[in-house]
Amino acid sequence: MTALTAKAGTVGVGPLPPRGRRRRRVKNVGARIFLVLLAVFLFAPLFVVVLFSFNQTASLSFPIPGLSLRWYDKVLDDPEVVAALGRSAIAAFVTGLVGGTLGILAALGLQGLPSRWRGIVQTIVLVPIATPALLLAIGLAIYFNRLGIKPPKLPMAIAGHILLALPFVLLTMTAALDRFRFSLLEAARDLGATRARAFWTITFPLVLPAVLGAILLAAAVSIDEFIIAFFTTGTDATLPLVIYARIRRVIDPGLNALATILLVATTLLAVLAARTTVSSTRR
Amino acid sequence: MNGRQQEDAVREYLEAKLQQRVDRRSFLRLSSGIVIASSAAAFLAACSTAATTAPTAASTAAPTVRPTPNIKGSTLEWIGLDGEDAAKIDSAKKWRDDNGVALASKYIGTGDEIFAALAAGQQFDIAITFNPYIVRSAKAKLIQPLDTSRLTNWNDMFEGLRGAGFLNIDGKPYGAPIAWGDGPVVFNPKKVPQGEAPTSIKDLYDKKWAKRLTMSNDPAWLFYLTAIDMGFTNAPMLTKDQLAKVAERSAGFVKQNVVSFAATYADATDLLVRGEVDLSLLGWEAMLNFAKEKGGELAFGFLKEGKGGWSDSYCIPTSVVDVDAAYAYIDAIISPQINADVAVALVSGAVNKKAVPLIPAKDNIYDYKNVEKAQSGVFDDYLAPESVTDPNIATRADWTDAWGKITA
Amino acid sequence: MSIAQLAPTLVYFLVFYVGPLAVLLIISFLSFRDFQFVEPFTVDNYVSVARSETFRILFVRTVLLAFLSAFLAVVIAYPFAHLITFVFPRRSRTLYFLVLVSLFGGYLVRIYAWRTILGIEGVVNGTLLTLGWITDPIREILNSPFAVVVALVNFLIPLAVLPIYASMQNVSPGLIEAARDLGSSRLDITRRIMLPLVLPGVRVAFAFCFIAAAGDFAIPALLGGVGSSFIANQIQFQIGQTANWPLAAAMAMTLIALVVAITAALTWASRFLTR
Repeated sequence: MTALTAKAGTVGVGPLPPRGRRRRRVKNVGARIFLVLLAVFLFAPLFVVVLFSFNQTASLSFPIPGLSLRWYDKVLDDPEVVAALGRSAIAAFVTGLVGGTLGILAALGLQGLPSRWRGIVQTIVLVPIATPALLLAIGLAIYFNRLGIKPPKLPMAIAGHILLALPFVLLTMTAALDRFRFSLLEAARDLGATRARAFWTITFPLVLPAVLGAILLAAAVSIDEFIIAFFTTGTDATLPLVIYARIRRVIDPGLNALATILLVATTLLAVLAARTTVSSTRR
Repeated sequence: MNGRQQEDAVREYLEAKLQQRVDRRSFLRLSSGIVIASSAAAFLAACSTAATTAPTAASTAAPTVRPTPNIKGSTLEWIGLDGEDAAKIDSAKKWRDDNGVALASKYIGTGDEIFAALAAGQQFDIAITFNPYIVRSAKAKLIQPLDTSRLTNWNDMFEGLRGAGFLNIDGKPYGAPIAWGDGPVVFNPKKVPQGEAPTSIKDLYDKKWAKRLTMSNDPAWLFYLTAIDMGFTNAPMLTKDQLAKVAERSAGFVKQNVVSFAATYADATDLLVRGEVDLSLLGWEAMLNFAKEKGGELAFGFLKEGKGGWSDSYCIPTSVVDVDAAYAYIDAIISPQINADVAVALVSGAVNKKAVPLIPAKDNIYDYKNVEKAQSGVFDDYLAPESVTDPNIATRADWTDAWGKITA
Repeated sequence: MSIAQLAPTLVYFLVFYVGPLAVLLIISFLSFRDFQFVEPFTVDNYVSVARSETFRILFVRTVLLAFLSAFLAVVIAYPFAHLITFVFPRRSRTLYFLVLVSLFGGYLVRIYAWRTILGIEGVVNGTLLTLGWITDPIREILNSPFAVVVALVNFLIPLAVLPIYASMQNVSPGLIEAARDLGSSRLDITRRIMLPLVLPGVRVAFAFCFIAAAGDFAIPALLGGVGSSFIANQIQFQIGQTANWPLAAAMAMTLIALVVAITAALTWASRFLTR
C-alpha cells in the first residue's frame, strides 16, 4: 500500500486528516489496546503450537519442563514427511499459479461487466466455499469415478484446491483493481502516457503486490487443505494428511513441529514476496 | 453524490480506454500461456506417476496351488491404520525386499474413513477393515470374499477368528484378521482410586461420574452393555421396544456423565492425560504406553457385561488392481514370525497359533481363550444386526437413529 | 473481451464444481437399499430430512452458532480494518500481513492447541486459578458451544478482514474531508459515506464467514463435547457409518440451500435498510 500511495501521489489510501492532538492521542490508545488484544486472541493457538513444538516431553499441557529440538529431528528424519512436504509444495505452487492466473483473469473480466452481472458472477464464484468441503471432496471423487475417468491423484486434489482458492483470489484482485482506477486516472492525466506505457509502468507494478498476494493466498489454501486431499490423493499423502493421520494415532509435539515448519515456510514465502514487490515497484 | 457519480463515469470511461486492447490482450495471452504451460506440466507429472505404478494384473487366471506368481516389481496400494501395514517391521520388510514388493500406504484414523474412501471409489489393493464394518462393506460390494486356498497360513489361524460371525457371510470369509484385542475401560488411577474402578456398566451410570467420561461416537458398545444390565439377554438382537428402553436409559447416561466423544484411541488418551475426563469407555491396552510417553499414567479394567473384542482384517477391495501381490502379502502378514512381530508392534493378540510362542513373554498379555473356539462371539456379540427377517428386531439402522436422537 | 477473460474460470467451474455438484444432486434423489444407491428417483431423502427431529435440532444449532460466529468475526474484523486503513496507514501492510499469517498455521493442530488453552488444566483455567478468581477449574470452557464459537471466530477473523479491508480501499479520504468541511458529523460521515462504500465488503465478509462456519465439522467434533455437533458431523456420520450417500447428499443440499437463502435474505435486508 505504501508503494501505491508513493507512486500515485495524493490519491489512493491515505490517513484521515488529524482532528486535533488531544482527541487523536486518546483514540489511539484505545486502538492500540484493541490491536494488542486482537493479536493475542488471533495468535494464541499459533503461539501454543510453536511453543509446544520445542517441548522436551510428549506432553501438550503446561507446565513445559524444558526445551528441545527432538521433535524436529524426529519429524525431519521421516521419509514419509519429506515426501509429503514435496507433494504439498507442488500442490501449493500449481494452485497458486493456475488459481492465481484464472482468478486474476476473471477479475479483469469482471471489471468490464455491467455491475448487475458482476454481482451474479461474483456470487457464482463464491458458492464453492458454501459447499461443505466433505461433500465437495466426495462429489469430485464420485464424479470422475462415474464418468469412468481415472484421474491421477495429486492433480485431482490440486483441481479441488484451485476451486477453493478462486474465490479468495478473485476477491483480493477485484478489490485491488477497484482501487487502482483512481491512480490510473491521475497518472494518465498528469503524464499523458500512451496506453501500453501506462499499463506496464503504472498498472502492472501497482497491481503486482495484489497479484502476488492473491497467488500466495491460493497457495496457502492448498497447503492447509485436507478433506479434498483425503478423498482424492489415494496413497500420495500431502502434509496436512500426514498430520491428520498422526493426530488420529498419537497426539504429540511432533505434530506441532510439522505445523510450525508449515507456518514458517509459508510466512517466509509471503515475506519474500512482499519484499520483492516493494523493491521492484520502487525502482 | 451527483458530482461523484459523474466523476466515476469519467474515470470508468478513461480507464476502459486505457486498458483496452493491447494491454489486456497481451496480459490475457501471457496468462493463458501460463495456465496452459502449468496444466501441461501437471499432466506430464501425473502421467509419469501413473506409469510408475502401472499394475500387472494379467496373470490372475492361472489356477495356482502355491501362491507365488510373479509379483516382483509390484506396488501394493494399502489403506488402514498407521503401523498395521507392517511398514516398519523388519521381518515384513525383509519379505517385501525378497519378493520385490513395495508398499504405498494411506493412513487413516477411523473405520469410517476407510469405508468412505472405498465407497468414494478410491482404489486400493488391501484395505484394513475393522470387525463391525466387514458385513456392511461386503454388502456394499466394497470388498470381496477371500479365496483361502491361496493363503498357506490360513488353517493355522485361530478358529475363533477365521470362523467368526463378523467375518463370514454365507460361509465365505471376507478378510483375513491380522490382529485382535479386547475392549477394556481405561482410566486415570489418580482420579479413580483402586477399589473405585468400575466393574459393571451399572457403576458408570452413577451420578458420581457426572461429566467425567468419554466414549466413541457409536452406540454399539454402550447399548449392548446397557441392554445386558437391563436383563435383555437377547442383545444384540433387541426388539424395537427393548431398543427404545435401552436408548432412553443411555440418553440419561450420555447427558449426565459423558463430556466428549473420542474420535480415536489417541484422542481418548489425549483427553485422559489432559484431565478432561477420568475414564474412557473406548479402551485399548496400548493407551497406557501412549500416556506414559506424555508423562501420564493410566490403568485399565474390564466390565463384567462383556469383553468388547476388536479385530482388524486385511480385506481385498473389489477395486483391487494387483490381486496376486495382495494375496501374497496377506499370507506373509499372517505367517508365524511376521504375525508375532505385528502383535508386539500393535499391542495386540496374534492370529496365527504358531505365532503365539514367538511373542516375548512381556508382550504376551492377551487371553487366547477369546479366539480358540469358532463362533466365540467375542468380536460380534455386541454388534447390531445389519439386516433381519423378523420385522420386530431392531437393525443397526434403528440403533443409529436412536443414537442420533441422543447425541443431537 | 471481458467474456474471454471470464471464460476459463467459468469453464473450470462447470467441469470441477457444477459437475460434481450435479452428481450429488442426482444421488440425493436416489433410493438407498442394502448399502447401494439405486433407482427409482424419489424425494424420500428430503422428506426424512424435513421430518426428522434430530436433523432439525442439528440444522438449528448449525445455523445459530455459525451465524453468531460470523457476526462476532465481522464485528471484530471491521474495527481492525478501519484502524489499519485510516488510523495506522503506515503499518497497514504489516498488520494486514500478520492477520493473513494466522491463516497458515495448520488448521487441525490449531484446534488441538485450543484444548491446551481452554481445557481443565489449560491456560485460561490456570490463570484464573492463580489469580484466585475461581477455586475449581471451569469445565464448561472446553467441550461446550462456547469453545466452538471461540475457535470458529478465531478461524474466521482473517476471512472477514480480507473483504472488509479491500472495500475500505474504495473510500477516498478526500471525500471524507470534504464532508467534514461541509459540517457533517462523524456519525453522519459513517452512515452516509463510509457505510454505503464499505457495506458490500461487510456483506461478503459475513457471507464468507457464515458459510465457512456452517460447513465445518472438525471444530464441533474436537472441541464441542457432547451436544454441540453440526449438521456436517451428521453428514460425515451417514457417509462413514452407513454409506447412505443419498441421505447425506440431501442433507448437504438442504444445508447449501438454507445458507444461501439466509445470506441472500440478509443481503437484501441490508440493501433495503441502507437505501
